[in-house]
Parts: sequence; C-alpha cells; structure tokens
Amino acid sequence: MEEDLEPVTVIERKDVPVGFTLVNGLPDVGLVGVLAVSHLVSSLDMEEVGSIESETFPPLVVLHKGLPRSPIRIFLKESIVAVVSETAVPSGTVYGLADAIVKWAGSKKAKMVISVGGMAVQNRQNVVKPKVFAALTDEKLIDLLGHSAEVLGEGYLVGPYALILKKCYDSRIDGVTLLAQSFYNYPDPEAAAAVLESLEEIAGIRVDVSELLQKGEEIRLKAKDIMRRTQEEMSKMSKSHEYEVPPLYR
Amino acid sequence: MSRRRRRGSSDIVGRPLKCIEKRTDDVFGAGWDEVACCIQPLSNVTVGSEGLTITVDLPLADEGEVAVKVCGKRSVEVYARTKHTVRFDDLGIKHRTGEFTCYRAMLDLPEAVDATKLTYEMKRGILEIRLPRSRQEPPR
Repeated sequence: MEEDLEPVTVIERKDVPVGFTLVNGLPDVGLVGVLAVSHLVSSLDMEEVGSIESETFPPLVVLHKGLPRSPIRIFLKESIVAVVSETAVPSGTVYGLADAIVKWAGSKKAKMVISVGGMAVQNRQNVVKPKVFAALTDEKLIDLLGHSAEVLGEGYLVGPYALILKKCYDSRIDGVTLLAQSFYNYPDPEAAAAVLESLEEIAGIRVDVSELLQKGEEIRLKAKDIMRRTQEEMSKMSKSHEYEVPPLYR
Repeated sequence: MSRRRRRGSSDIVGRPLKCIEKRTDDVFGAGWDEVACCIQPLSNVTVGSEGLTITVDLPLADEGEVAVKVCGKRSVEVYARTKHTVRFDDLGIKHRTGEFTCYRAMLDLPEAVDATKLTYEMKRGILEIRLPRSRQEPPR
C-alpha cells in the first residue's frame, strides 16, 4: 500500500550526520509538541538544515526576517535533530508525512525517534504539574524513562505520532512518544515544559524551560490561531478516539 | 400555476450579502478584530450531567475585569479586558497594525440554561463558566 501514499519529501539543505536522536514537534493536542520543540530549537540555537515538502501541503510559506521558509523544517545541533511544523498538518497528509519522517530517520540510522506532544485531560486548569506518559516501541526502553514518565499501558493514539510510532516499530527503530497532560484545544506551554523535562532524562537533552513558563501567556496568545486550525484537523482525524477505552488487551 | 414564493428584494440582496459576509469572516475572522480592538478567544463547551461547563482561554486578561452575561437561554457573552494593550508589533507582526485591549466572545450553547444559576471563576488565565440546565428542558 505504500505506493499509494502521497509523496512527501525530506530535503537536506546541509549535510546531516548519521546516528542522531530525532525529536518531532508536530501540531497536536495543546500544541505541546510545537511549543516544546520550538523552544528546544531556540534554546540550543539549532541550525536549520532542511525541510519537509509536499505538493499535498497547503500552498504556504512562513516568512522569517522577510525570507520564505517551509512550514515544516529540520534543525540540527550536534547529534540532535528536530522536526517542527509551524502550520497545522492537514489530516490527508498525515500518512505521507509519518512515512517520510521514519524512512528518512531509518536511512540516517537514527539512534532514536522521540515525538513530543500532549494528552488532553479534563480539568487541566486544576493540574499544577502535568504528568508525562510514554508509549514505546520496545520494552527495553522503559529503563530510560526513570521517574520522568509513566508508561502508557493501554489506550489509543491518533494522528501523526501514532503513525510515526507504529512505523518505527515496524522498521525496528527505537521510538518514544512523550505525552504531557494538557489542554485539548488551548496552547499549553506548561505541558511543553513538562515534556522537555522528561526529554532531558530520556535523551540527555538539557533545556532551561523557565522562559517557556514566564512567557506562557504571550505564547498562548500568539499560538491561538494555529491552535484553532490544528483543532479543525484533529476533528477530521477523529482525535477524540484517544479518550476511549479499548475493548481488548494483550 | 406555480406556487413558488416570489423572492422579495431583501432576499435577492440579502443572500449574496450574507455570502460575502461569510467570506469576509473567513478571511478576517481569525479572531483579531482590529476595528473593535477585540480578540476572539479560544473556547470550549462541555455538556455534563449537571449542565454546561464552558471554558475560555484568556491569556493576559485582567482577572478583575471579566464579565459574563447569559443572553436569552442559549448563548453566553464573555468580555475581559487585557492587562495591557496588545499590539501586533508585540507579537512580531509588522504588516498589520492593530491594538487590542479586550477579549469578546458570543458563544452559542447546545442546551437551554438557567441564567440565574450562573457561576464563573478564573484559574490561571482560563475562565470556567458553569451553567445548570434550564428546568423546562429535560436532559437529552
């Protein structure tokens, strides 16, 4: 069935060395992934090295300092590579995008593929410190979590991270999806900070999250438009399925 | 004989106008009303066993300057002043000029509510409104 996937291409504009740890920040619940990975990119002063392109994406560019940029870009710092999207990923392109990311990670012998995102909880406003949950491709990765995240035992995952995790599993690439408790349709910088703290324990990627917390209100306001568009795409993907209880186990 | 109702002039003019209005809303309706200096917030309405819970995301809102009003039985108006004037420039947007001093939203409700039992509170920038169902209308 892979031939039927819409073509999505990873373009390397600068040489990306093999054996990196890949961190994905795609728009999803609470925009946790986008906020976390954008903060990671700016904190580590990561270099833009490529982008992900497809004719199936909306015809748009993001202007930064007057220059046109792809909305889904790839950044590098030493052995860390980050993929971050500044636009909602259309539900129809999710398969192609996940396929392209995992194939590229495989071709570059990625050490691990970590996707960071949110998991909506009711009464999020009463949760002071969001918990982080993890879905893994291999039981051996549980030891890496330490106290930073709890294994997501049973449940559904919906959206690009679900496909990335499954494709990593099928391709025998170590994959971890980290999901912090978050708002469903409000940008959640506190959840982004929580997931970055887990990332430090799992992958040794240390980032100061204080700015993310201090500027939280501004970030929420600035991100509200992409949150609105992301919510529309999440509805098309039946994201609410994630909050249902699976009938079978094992 | 045709029984089709003749369209009045207001229908003929009104329909395309509504269409244009909607398209204008599509373009400029991203939630920043530069004319009224208002931001349209993100919001969420949940139906529970006791009634409706509405949350509204109000970052940078002054918690002491929030007003909630039930309009009729099926809509709620939310107004909140921002702590300070928010400019597009502050958000890194140079090609648009606009200053925003408040949030305003008119939210449609899926069920009739009892306006006399309205309660609301702000928690860390999120407004939570609770409205029990109207007694006349049994739960669906």
